[in-house]
Amino acid sequence: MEYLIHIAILICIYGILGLSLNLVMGEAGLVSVAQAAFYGIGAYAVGLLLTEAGWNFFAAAGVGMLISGVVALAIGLVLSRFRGDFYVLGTVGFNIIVWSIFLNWQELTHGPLGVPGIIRPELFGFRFTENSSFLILALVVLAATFGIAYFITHSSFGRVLKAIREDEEATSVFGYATVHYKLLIFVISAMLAAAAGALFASYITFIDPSSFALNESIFILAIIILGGLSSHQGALLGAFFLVVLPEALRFVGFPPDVAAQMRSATYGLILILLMLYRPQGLMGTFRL
Amino acid sequence: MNKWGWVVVAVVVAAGIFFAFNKPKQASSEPIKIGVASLLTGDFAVVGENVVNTAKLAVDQINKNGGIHGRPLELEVQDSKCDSKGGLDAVQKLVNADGIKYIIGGMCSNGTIAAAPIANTQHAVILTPVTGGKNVDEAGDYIFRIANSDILAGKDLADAMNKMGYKNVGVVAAVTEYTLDIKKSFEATVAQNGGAVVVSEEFQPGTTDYRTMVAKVKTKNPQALLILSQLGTDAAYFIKQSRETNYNVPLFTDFTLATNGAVKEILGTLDGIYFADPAYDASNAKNFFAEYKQAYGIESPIPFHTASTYDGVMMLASALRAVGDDSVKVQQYLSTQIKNYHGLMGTYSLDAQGNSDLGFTVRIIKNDKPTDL
Repeated sequence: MEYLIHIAILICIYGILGLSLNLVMGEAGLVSVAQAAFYGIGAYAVGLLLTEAGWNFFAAAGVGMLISGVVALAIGLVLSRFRGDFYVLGTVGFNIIVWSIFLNWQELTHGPLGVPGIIRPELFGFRFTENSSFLILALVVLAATFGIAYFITHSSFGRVLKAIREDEEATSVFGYATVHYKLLIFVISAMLAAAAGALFASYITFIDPSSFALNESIFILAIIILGGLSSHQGALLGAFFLVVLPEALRFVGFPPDVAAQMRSATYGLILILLMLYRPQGLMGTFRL
Repeated sequence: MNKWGWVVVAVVVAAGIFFAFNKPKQASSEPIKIGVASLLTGDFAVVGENVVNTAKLAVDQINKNGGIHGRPLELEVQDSKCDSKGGLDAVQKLVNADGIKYIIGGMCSNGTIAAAPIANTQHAVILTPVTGGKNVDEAGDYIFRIANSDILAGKDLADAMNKMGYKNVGVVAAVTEYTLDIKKSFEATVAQNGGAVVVSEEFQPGTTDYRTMVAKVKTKNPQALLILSQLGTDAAYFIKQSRETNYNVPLFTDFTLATNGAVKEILGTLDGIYFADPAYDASNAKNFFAEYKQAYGIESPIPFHTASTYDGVMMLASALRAVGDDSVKVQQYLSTQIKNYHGLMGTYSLDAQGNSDLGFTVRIIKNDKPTDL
């Protein structure tokens, strides 16, 4: 049961990341490969504030989300000058910069040695030490994220985002300051990703830069492409699929000598087949 | 298939996992399972393959000799990759899905540390024959390190320099967990020995142009220089570019430069380079290395990892024979009874924190062969 709970917690964390990226990419049409950077900012804020300043998890998570939002605002202002492929490259560059800071600002982040001994959250004297209680917390954060995403997409703000995605110039002709809309959704998305990072740091109890490299952003991107762009259920299903699939493959009886390699190859093959036969993703309503 | 069809598929996969690991408990005549969580994919897969190959041979030896009071050992191998989530996933699967309480953990340090809370709370013993970092040393009661300590590598290198009369020294290191552990220990020991680190530089792994760094080191004029990189190739490029500028300072490094075949292609010759050779008894391990070559058709790529993995499996077996299939008692046995243990790594002990006292011997390469000083 513990193993299933572990997988469920990871699904929640990646579900939050998928939902957060879906707001930027699925709703506003901005292809961002920087989600791991904001995820890492949230994780490091919690890791450092808990281990070195003795803060409460929830206060630290709030600060992490705030820092992530401010950073997103700053980088978003720069990125708003780019369109299309250049925007994507800009987000790639930003992820690499943040990862380099995690790796090289050793006085603060401990560089590759990482931050060990991060404790579990505590609320009104109750500590989420057991994985089952941590799962409840993760589910609450996931539900809140889903609620925020649902509210945004069903609001007038969300409809403007969709209009920007379909035709930004036409939307601006109607008097909408599209840059402000894109900036705001980018900031909200970054703050939600930081919440996922806070959960991750506290769950895994150890963080180092390797968890927030470009590969992780690509993995989050794969979640929403597989799940289907502009679909919150799709983001959750994508997270479920991409977290469960490699774990499920651990139970497949490949020959022991090549089992790990076969699992990786099978994982890749399944993803390729899915994209071939379901290019809009499992539950997608929009294609790039 | 419509979207609900996909949901059904997802639920079936989850149910499959649940039933796959809800197996009946082992009867006393059934095999004792030993998990191996190691990096089997990615850049360092050679490390994990070596650990797995060695563990298989060691388990075969034990089973041929009657197993553990008639119960054979059985290996269950999982890929830990080289990150914290990968290590945690692998150990979660072994401990909570397969019910395994004894693990040979050839993981990266980050994976070992992330998995440590499960090991400590669920009383699963992890013996690591690979990682030697400070973080791993402090990871908890159920984590045992057999591999040579990175901290001792830094200390032994600093002591060797001191013995040779090099008081003002320099260090250049890649920004990795392994190399920074050695660097910090090296710098602390130099200071304790009354010396000074006159230049201390770091670089990103994979850097190929070191000319500016070489020029900077040159201006500080250290009497000897320690150069550290994860795989040895980065250090090789640094040395090559030092040679090109006729900068000939006594060079010290870790074992990776001396054991990586690609380094010789970069440098031509390694003669004159001092390196920290992991202390293990190669003569003791000779027969097992021959068996390894016969089984797999290749020499062990990292002989001291082979030796430490073999010792790890044998230590577990001796603990299981002594106290039975009880991981709490096995932990206590390993913490208290492994003193002056005679294994392929030589004669050594595990301290109360479960760490071996194996260090390094500083050697020089002469005629392309490691030679005692």
